[in-house]
Amino acid sequence: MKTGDSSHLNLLPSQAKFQAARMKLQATLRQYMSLVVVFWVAMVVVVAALYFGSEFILNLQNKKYDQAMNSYGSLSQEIVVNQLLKYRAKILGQVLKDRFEYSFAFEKINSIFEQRATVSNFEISENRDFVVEVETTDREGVNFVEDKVAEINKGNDEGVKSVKLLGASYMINGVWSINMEVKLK
Amino acid sequence: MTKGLNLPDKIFGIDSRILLLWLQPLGLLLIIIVSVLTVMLPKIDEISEKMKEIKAVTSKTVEVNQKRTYLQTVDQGETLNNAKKLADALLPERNSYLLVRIIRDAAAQSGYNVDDFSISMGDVKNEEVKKDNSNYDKIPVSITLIGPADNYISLVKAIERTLPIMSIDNFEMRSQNGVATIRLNVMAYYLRDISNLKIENLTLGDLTPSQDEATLLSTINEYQTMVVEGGLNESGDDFVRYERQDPFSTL
Repeated sequence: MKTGDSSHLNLLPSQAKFQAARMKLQATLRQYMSLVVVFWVAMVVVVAALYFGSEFILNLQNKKYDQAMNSYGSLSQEIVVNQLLKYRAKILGQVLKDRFEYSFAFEKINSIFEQRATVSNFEISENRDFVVEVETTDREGVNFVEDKVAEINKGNDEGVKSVKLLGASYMINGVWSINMEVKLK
Repeated sequence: MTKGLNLPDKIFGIDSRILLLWLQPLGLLLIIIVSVLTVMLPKIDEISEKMKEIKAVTSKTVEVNQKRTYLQTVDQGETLNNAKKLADALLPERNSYLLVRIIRDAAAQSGYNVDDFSISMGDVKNEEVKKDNSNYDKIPVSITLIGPADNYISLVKAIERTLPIMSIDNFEMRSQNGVATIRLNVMAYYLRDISNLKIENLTLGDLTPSQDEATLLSTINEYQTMVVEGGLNESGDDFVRYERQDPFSTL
């Protein structure tokens, strides 16, 4: 007689006990397997739903983006003008920023000696220092220029850093000509 | 032996019938593991990527709509006027003679006349300045002006406060008996048109005007615009081709 054959009715008590335990184990395993299968199927459904759902939403958003881009693209003329303006403004802003304002510097230098001496000759060196020749008609004018230079070199002038007297000459027509190098701040 | 299978009654001391019971769950577990690893996890990754893509597309759509709304609300007439004003601040063509004409007209306002001028053809490559993917050409001329010595500041002001924008590079003045001879190196600027503008890459910040631009426009508005006509044909007449056999004939 085969001991493990469940078709036999005349089982020994130990075999019956084994058979019962085996059937119980089988039932438990089937129960767990069903749970696992249900869980797995649920997971597949959720993943599939998320996958197709995200695909659908992405297509929808892409359509919205395309529509927005078409509408934005129809304003291309305005965009080109806008960018041209910004492009020019950027370059010109840089040019003006880097540009040395001669008129401002001249006004500054001209204002140093007020009406007592007039600028006759002008040169600008590479490092933006000014070699200036001023003329005055009287001795008081020369004294004024000297006093003003001394005052500037003490640091009492806001716009001028320093003045270096290079020479002075008295001309036949009674005019004093004074050469100097001016450094602006 | 187990029925149908050539298995011993016991394997490692465990009844083979008990072991057979575990085959089904183990097979199922294997199928699940394989399906999770080969199908589910890649799909979950794809979902994650799609979510990121949705977020990015949504954000891009919002930005595009903001840009469109901004452009629709901007006064295009004012933008065009500002763009024209900035165009006036640049030379319309790479032409040094044009620049001489502009300086001549600006100098005439201060009573100065052109004595002589020289144009350096220079090395085009060296004159070209490239900064931040934008390029412009400097057009230089060296010019001598003669006029009343008292007006030299107004002359320099006229040059520096005139459109097209000019920069004085070198200044030398000699005066005698109230007449000044001024030698200047002046530069104006020529800007090439924008090429390869990709409108989709522009941000809202790229479209909105900055404080610097507003300051520049208000500065330039104070400048005097010179009438600039391109080309060397000063009279502005159209070119006429005469098909004459005899070039000296006036008939």
